[in-house]
Amino acid sequence: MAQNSRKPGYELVKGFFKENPVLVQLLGICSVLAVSNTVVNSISMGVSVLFVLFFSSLVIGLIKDLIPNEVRIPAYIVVIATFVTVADLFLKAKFPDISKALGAYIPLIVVNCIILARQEAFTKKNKLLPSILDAIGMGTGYIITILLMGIIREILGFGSIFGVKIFGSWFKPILVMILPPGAFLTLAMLIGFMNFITRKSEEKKL
Amino acid sequence: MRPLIIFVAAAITNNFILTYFLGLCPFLGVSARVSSAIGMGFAATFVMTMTAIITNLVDHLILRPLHLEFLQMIVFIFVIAVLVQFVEMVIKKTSPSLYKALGIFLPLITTNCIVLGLALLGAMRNYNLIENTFFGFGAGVGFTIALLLISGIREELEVRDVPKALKGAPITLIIAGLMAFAFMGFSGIISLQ
Amino acid sequence: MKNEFRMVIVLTLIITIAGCLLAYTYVSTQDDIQRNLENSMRTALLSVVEGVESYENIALDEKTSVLKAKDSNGNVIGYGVMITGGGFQGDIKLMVGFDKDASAVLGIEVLENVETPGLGNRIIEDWFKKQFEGAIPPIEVLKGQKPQNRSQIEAITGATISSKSVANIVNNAHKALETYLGSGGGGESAGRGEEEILEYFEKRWPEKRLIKKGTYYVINDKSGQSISYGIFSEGVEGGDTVKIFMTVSKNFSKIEDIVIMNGSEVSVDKEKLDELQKRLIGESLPLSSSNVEVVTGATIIEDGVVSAVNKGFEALKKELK
Repeated sequence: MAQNSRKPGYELVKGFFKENPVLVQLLGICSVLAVSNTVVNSISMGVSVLFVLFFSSLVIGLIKDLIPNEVRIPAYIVVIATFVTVADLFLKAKFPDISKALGAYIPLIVVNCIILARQEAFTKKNKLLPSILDAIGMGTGYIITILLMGIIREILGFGSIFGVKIFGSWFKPILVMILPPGAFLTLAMLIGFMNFITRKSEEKKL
Repeated sequence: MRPLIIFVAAAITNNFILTYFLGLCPFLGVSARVSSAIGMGFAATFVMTMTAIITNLVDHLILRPLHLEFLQMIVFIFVIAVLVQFVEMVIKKTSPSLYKALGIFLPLITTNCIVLGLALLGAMRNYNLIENTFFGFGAGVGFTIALLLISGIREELEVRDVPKALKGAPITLIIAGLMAFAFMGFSGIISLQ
Repeated sequence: MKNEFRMVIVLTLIITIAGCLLAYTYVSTQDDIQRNLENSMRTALLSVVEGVESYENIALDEKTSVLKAKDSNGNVIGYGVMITGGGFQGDIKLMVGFDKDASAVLGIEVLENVETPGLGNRIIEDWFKKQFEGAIPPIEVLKGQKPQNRSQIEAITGATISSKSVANIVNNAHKALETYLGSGGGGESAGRGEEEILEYFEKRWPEKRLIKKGTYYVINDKSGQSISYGIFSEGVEGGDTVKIFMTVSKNFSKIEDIVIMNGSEVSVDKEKLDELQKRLIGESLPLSSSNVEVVTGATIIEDGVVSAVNKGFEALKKELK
C-alpha cells in the first residue's frame, strides 16, 4: 500500500465514507456526541473542525521537514491549538449564539483525535497536496457524520429541523434523543449500519 | 460544602464520560479488561488531580494577572505534557512496580481530551484552587467508575452473541448510552448553588 | 547535541509565531466580542424594563452587575440585575428587571443556561418567564399548585430544581440590588447607612469622632471637645426621596459637611452630586432654594436636598433645645 502512488482524487473522497474518520476510524467521537443535538450546532462544529484540520495540515505540511522527529507531537499540538483558538475567537466575535451553544467543545477540537491522527498518519509521510486533499476529505467526512447525527437527533428529539417544526401537534418529541444517552445510541446505530454495509459489499466481492 | 458538591457532581451526576463525552478514546480502547481499566483509572485520576491544581495556579498566578487568557489552551497543553512526563519520570525512579502498572497508560493520557477538558472547564467556571482540586479528583473518580463498569460488562459480553455489525465500538457505545441513562437517575441528588 | 539545540530553536520559533498570531487575532476580535456582550446585555435589559433609552452599568462583583435603566430624560425608570447563579446542571445567567423602588420584578430574561433540554431548559419558555412579571421577592416556588399571591410561581413539571434555581437567582438579584441601593427595608437600612457614614467620616477626618445621641450625633475632636452636630435626614421632591447626612456647626449657623447618600433615588450622575455637595458645604442655615447656585441637570434633586437639609436642621434644633 504505497500511499504516494494513489490518485489525488482518491485522497479527497476516501474520507467521505470508505475511511470515514468517525464511523470507520472511530476518531473525534467526543465532539460528534456532544454537539450533534441540533443541525445548526452540527454544521458549526463540522465547519470548525474542517477549518482547523485544513490549516493544520497546510502549515504542518509546509514545515514538517524542519521539525525534529522527537518534538513533532508538541509542535503539531501548538499549531493545532493556535488554529483552534483562532476559530474560537472568530466564532465568539462573529457568531456569538453559535459560540455559546458549542461552549466548551470548540477548545476541545485541539484534542480531537482526528486532527492529530491525520498529521501523524498522513501529513507526516506525504507531500503537501495529498495532505491537503486528505484534510479536506476527512473534514468533509466528519461533517457528513455529525450532520447525519444532528438531523436524526433533532427530528426525533425536537420534532424539528433547523429549528422549524416539521410535525403536527400529534408528535411527542423523544426527549432522550437530545440527551447524552440518545447521542450514544444514535452513533452506535450509525457505526453498526456502516459495519453492516461494509460487510455486505465485501461479501459481494467474494 | 461547595468543594464536596463539586466533587460529587464531577464524579456522578455530571460524569465526564457519560454527560460531557470526554475521554472516550480510552473508553473504547482500554475498557475491554477490568485490570487495565483499573490501571488506566488510577493513572488518570492522579494526573487529573495534579493537572487541576497546577493549571489553576498557572491560570490565576500568571495568565489572568497578565491578561493572557487567550493563551490558556496552549499553556494548559504544555503544562499537561510536562506534568505527565514528570510524573512518569518520578514513578519510574521511585516505584518500579507502580511504573509497571501505570507506565503504559501515562503517554495515552497526554493527548486525552478529558485532561484538557478538565483544565478548560475549571478555568471557565472560575473555580478556586480548592474547588478545582476537588473538581479534578471527582472527574478522575467518575472516569474510573465509568471505565470499570463498562469493562466488567464488556468482559461478560465477549462470550455472548452480539450481532456481527454491532461488535466492538457500537455495542460499547450502546452500553455507554444505557449507562448514561442510568446515571441520569442520579441527577438531582445534589444541585450546584 | 546539535539536534537538541535544533529541537529547542524550532519549538521556540513555532511557539513565538503561534503566540504572535494569537495575540493578533485576540486584539482584532476583542471589539466585536465586547460589542456582542454589550448587545446581548442591552437586548436583555430592553426586554425586562420598558422604555429604556440609556443605561449605566455598575459591576458589583464577578457574577453580578446592576444596570441603571434610564428614560430619554435621564431619569432612572428601573434596574436590571445581570447575575449568574447555580442551576441544575451548571450556571444560569439571568437578567432580572426591577421597578425603580426595587420592590417588584418587572421581568426576567435567561441569557445563558445549560439545563437539560426539554426539561430544565424550559425555563426559557415565555409562560415560565411571564410568571415573574410583577412578582414581589422573595419568590417562592410551588410544585403542582396554582400560585396564590404575587410572591409565588409555579414550578415546571419535572424540573422543580431548575425552577427553584431561577427563583433563587432572582431573589439573590433582589438582595444584591437592595444592598447596592442601601435600602434593605426598614431599620436595617438605617443601620447600614450609619455604618457607611461612620466609615466615611473616619476616612475624611481621622481626628474627629462621631457619638450617637438618640436621633442625632455629637462630633468631638480628639481632645473630646464637642465641635459640631450631625443628623440623618430625608427630603422628598418630585416623588424622589433624597437621603442625606449633614453636620452643622455648634452655633447652628452653617453646614459644615454634607453627604448625599446611597439609596437616594436620584437620577443624576456622581460628578454632579459631588459638585452639589461641595457647593452646599459652608452655606448658612436655613437654606432657601434661591440662595443655592443651581447645578445644571440637578435641579430636582437640589430641591430634595434643600428640603432634607432644612428638615434636618429643624429636627436638630428641636432635639438640642
